[in-house]
Amino acid sequence: MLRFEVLHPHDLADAFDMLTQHEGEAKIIAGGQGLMPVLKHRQLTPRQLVNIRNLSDLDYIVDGKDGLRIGALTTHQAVENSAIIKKRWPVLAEMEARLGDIQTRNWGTLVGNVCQASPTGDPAPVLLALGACLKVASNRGERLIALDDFFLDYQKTALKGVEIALEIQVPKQPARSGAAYHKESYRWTDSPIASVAAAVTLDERDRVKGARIFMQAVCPAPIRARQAEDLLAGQQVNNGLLDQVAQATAGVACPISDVYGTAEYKMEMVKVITRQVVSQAIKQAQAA
Amino acid sequence: MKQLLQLKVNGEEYEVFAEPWKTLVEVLREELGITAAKESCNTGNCGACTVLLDGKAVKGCLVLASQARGHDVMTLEGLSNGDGLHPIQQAFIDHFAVQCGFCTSGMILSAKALLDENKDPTEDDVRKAIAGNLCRCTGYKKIVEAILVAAEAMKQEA
Amino acid sequence: MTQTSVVLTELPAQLEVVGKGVPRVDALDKVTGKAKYTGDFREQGMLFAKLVRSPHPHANIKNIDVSAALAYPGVKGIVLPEDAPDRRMGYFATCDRQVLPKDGRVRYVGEPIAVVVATTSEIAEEAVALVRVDYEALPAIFDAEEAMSPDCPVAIHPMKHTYSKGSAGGAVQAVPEIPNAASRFKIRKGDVEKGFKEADVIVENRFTVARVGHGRMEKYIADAWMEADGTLVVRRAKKGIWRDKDWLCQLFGLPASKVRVMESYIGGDFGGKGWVAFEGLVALAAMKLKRLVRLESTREEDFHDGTMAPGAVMYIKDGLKKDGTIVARETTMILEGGGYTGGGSGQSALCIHNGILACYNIPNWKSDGYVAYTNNPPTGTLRGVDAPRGSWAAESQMDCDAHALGMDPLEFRLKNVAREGDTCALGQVLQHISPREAIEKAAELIQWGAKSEGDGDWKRGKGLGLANYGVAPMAPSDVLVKVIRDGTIEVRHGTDEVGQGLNTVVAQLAAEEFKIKTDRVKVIFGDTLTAPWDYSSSASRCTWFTGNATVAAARDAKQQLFMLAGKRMGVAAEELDTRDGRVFCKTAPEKSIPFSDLFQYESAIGHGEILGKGYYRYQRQPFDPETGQCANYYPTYPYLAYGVEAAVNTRTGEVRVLKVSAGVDVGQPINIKMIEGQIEGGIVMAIGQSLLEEVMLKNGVHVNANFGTYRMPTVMESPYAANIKVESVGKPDPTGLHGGKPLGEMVLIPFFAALGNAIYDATGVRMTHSPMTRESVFWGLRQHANAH
Ligand SMILES: Cc1cc2nc3c(=O)[nH]c(=O)nc-3n(C[C@H](O)[C@H](O)[C@H](O)COP(=O)(O)OP(=O)(O)OC[C@H]3O[C@@H](n4cnc5c(N)ncnc54)[C@H](O)[C@@H]3O)c2cc1C
Ligand code: FES
Ligand code: FES
Repeated sequence: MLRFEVLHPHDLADAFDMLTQHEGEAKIIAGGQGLMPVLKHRQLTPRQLVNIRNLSDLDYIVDGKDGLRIGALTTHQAVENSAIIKKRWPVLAEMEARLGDIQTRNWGTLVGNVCQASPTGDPAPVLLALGACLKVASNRGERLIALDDFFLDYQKTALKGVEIALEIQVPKQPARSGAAYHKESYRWTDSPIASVAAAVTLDERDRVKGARIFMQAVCPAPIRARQAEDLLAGQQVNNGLLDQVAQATAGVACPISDVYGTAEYKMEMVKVITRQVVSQAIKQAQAA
Repeated sequence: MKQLLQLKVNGEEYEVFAEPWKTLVEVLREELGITAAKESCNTGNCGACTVLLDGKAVKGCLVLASQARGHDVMTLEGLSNGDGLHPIQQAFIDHFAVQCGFCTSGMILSAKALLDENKDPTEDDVRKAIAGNLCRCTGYKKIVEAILVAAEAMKQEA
Repeated sequence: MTQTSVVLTELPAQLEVVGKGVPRVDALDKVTGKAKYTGDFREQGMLFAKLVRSPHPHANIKNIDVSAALAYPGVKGIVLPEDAPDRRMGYFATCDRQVLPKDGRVRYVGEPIAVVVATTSEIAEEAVALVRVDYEALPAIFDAEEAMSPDCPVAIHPMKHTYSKGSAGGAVQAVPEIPNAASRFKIRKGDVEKGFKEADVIVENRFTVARVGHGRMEKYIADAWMEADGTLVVRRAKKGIWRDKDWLCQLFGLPASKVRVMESYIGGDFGGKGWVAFEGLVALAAMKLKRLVRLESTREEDFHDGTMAPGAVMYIKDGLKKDGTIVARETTMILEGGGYTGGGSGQSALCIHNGILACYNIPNWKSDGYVAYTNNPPTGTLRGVDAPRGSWAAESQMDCDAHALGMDPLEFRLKNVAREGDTCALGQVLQHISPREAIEKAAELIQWGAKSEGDGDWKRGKGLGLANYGVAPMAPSDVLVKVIRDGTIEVRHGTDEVGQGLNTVVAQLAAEEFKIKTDRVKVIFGDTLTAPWDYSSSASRCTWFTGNATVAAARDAKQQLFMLAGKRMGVAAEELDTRDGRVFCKTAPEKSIPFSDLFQYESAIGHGEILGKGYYRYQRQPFDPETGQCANYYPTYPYLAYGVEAAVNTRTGEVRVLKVSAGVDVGQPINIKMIEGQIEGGIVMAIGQSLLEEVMLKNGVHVNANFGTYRMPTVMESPYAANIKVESVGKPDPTGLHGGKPLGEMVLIPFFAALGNAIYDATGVRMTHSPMTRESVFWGLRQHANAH
């Protein structure tokens, strides 16, 4: 932590200017639920923080005809309890309900979590599976980054230091789609040992038309299980196929052994979870 | 390096000088002498520093003091204005939900945030509401029981 | 047993306050936020200290250069090893620790080397980074068994033969022939070799257990300053004001009148707030700078200095008869003590046996307990002082024994359970004990014998564990009781309110004597200027020691009160009794007088106040160092049995504790609500330490010194409220205070094995390492599946 200045922009334009002026030295702080622990452990020592927590214009949830948009200052808690999200995007609400504890969800933001790019962040694999994009901006203008292109490496993203992420956009899902997410964790409030999100779309004969499977906590950044998706393509799912899918998913994981367990154990958990979330997603798609 | 900061705590307006990197719990404790919120883990993992911001529980060690400007801060000291205890406080006494007391302030405030939103909580609701508050002494049983009793009492009162 | 203040037992039926679940006297302070803890005080102009710590697990200090740090703006001074005394400190067993490493050697990563004092903690921290220390790294060792090998090339305390023993170190022995052995304790009862020859079945196992931490919510914090007359004052979040005062006097060669130690409410202890190293550091800084200095650890530092419970390796061998009797037991237990054991673990060579030595009647017994020095951070006492470790091995072994004989684990325990008049492993005759009732109650409450159904991936099982404990008879207790003219009774004691509820117990005892409500009792504690001598709230001794002294003091005060009232009322003192702030005549209760009148009357003839004094002390016979036998080592033996029902996820290895039952023998409980509270808290701490918590070290460096990855259970990992059931089964112990026995530290002990036994019952997998992490259970299940 030690010493830093905190700048309080009045509006976005103000914030862009501050970030540009202190490029390389300033960090954005939103809810601080990711950043503050990092500062306290002295893992980062920025000279300035630009506090965007009070830019309440960025606190919104809109479910329109193109899909869902969640503003940068929307808290986890707001997502978790949003009636529209519970109804139309249950996987997001369920994921949020298992993220940390109430205090963290009350003050931390979904977009902040994505920008933090923690290798154990829960939202990233879910949003990736749903094909989400991030709208970002600086005083040089706006751009849209597909999350597929956003997470580059361990806590490295495509975001530039002068940019602010403005909103998450989740595209409308095709008919007969379902999505599921599960994490294994030590305690209820803990980050995952391993987690997997799956989104599938079925054709009218219950064959998989499209699938997106992402893992978290088993690589420096969230990782996609393409072979597993390919195995599913065009198939009606049965137990044997689920086993192959689980195996193929674990096959691309590259976990390290750490305080969350050995690499071998994490691989095993990936298999268990993959089976569970793929069949759950399919059930949902069938019901949709 | 200290800067002027306006805070509204337990209904009162304060002007304090504090370094910009100070967290809400630090400013409450060190500058305002409002000490019921405790600091224990300092990394957001224990809930001892829990305070309410606009009625919602947050961890005072992960909120910069300057971020609390414009919000209503409530600490345990502000729970029962003047005479008489809040039903949660009374239930904590009656049901032995207090041992060393270091988690108590955070527990009671997390419980208050819950009961203000949910008049009829189940045991599961209570558990989820205090999942961010560690207690090393009580094993939680008597805390959960006390909160459920308080919920009942608050319903009777209303 | 010598008991200098004999306290007669009243029949439980006559008790009005004792034995009832009366509310805690400190609860109002705590629910309103008015209760003050050390860190809640803050003085203008105080200075802040931070420590320079060793990055090496084992090294000689070649040079310390503080010039850059001293020149840093805001730095007020730096305390170096040369400023510190030579004396080595320790409590219980071994005095092996200097306040700062004046011997020029550091023995663990994080060992304090210098104290930097500055106007703010940020400046102090920045200046710490400017201190240059040159080291000569030495080879280091981290494994207890390797360290214990006679030809281990590393000697961590080469001068250990010159170290003295701590305050209660009589029980354990030095081990000059093993270079890294800190201490040893032997038990030799009967003839184990003969026993094993007689046995039909021999069961042998090796169990291990990881280091665990206290996880007390309040961190270490201490303030020190000098008064104008040269008195050193230390106010700290720690227990044992008098013990610290003695230590500080010894350390700095100060006379008793020149040291004052203070404490406030304490935010949890669990054995981790006894050790003096921290106070020594802050006192040194205050003496050198003549300013008020505060030293507060970060959570991470609290792991460095926190004297956690050592890990252990335990070998256990039982000889059994076919009929189910245990004829012989042999154990070798090695604790991994870290760089220093003065924080209390030196005594663990004995203490690791404390939870198992009076559970069953085992005629032939041989044990060797060792504490090994390593280059991990130091260890010390934690709730039960390693008895949970020994019990983890021995009570798991009991189930292994039962299964080897094809017996039910409950039936096997009942076959061997200690009875009135049996002798324990230390040779002491057991009296007024109810271990059978305890285990039967735990079994009944968990519905032992009714197989519980699992569902889906979850398999369910049940397990039992039994423990005894001994209240350690260390040092006497003094208590003062004042009668105030408005009828209030003031009790002054010299131990601690660490959350266990001592102030409530003391208030109940005094209230009972005066037949008043506890809200008429005021308890004063926490300052050597105003509180009488006591040891500290350690080793579950408070209820017994401080409690007995409280009753004695109250009776002394009552005696004086009756003398005064007798004169005034014209009645003999023996005729009088008291209730609700009045003295009355037993034969004619309408003849009564309020306390206030007495004072008015008597002040005219010179009585300002009534002050009763009481003390309690226990004299024990010396141990035989070769056999560990002692006729009266512990004044009493309480018992606790747990029944655990757990669910195991066969796909992930996750274990959930669904239900826990407790049968507890604390004689006649003084406050059943607080007994329940201690047990419920113990259960959840034990859930943490047996499933989730582990102090992880890599080459002596902490890997998870924070509450994010040192995983203490939240409410979500704890059973639902109705699924924890506690029942008291003891009979009054006539030697005890109002028939009671202490409970304190016993609450963790039998849980670990009870859970391991439940996992075995559910899955057939025998866990031999604690914590039984979900990963270790997962691989256990794999192995088991492959083998079958
Ligand atoms: C006790 C605890 C438990 C937790 N448990 C979990 C868990 O189970 N699962 C999980 O996924 N996470 C967990 N977290 C992490 C936490 O929820 C998120 O990372 C956090 O909410 C991030 O949002 P924030 O608003 O607090 O971001 P901040 O902490 O303010 O910022 C995080 C990072 O993102 C950057 N940033 C923030 N907002 C923007 C923006 N709009 N544009 C550009 N950059 C931005 C910041 O500069 C910083 O680098 C936990 C945290 C705590 C304290
Ligand atoms: S001190 Fe803030 S959560 Fe622990
Ligand atoms: S009462 Fe001590 S931590 Fe909860």
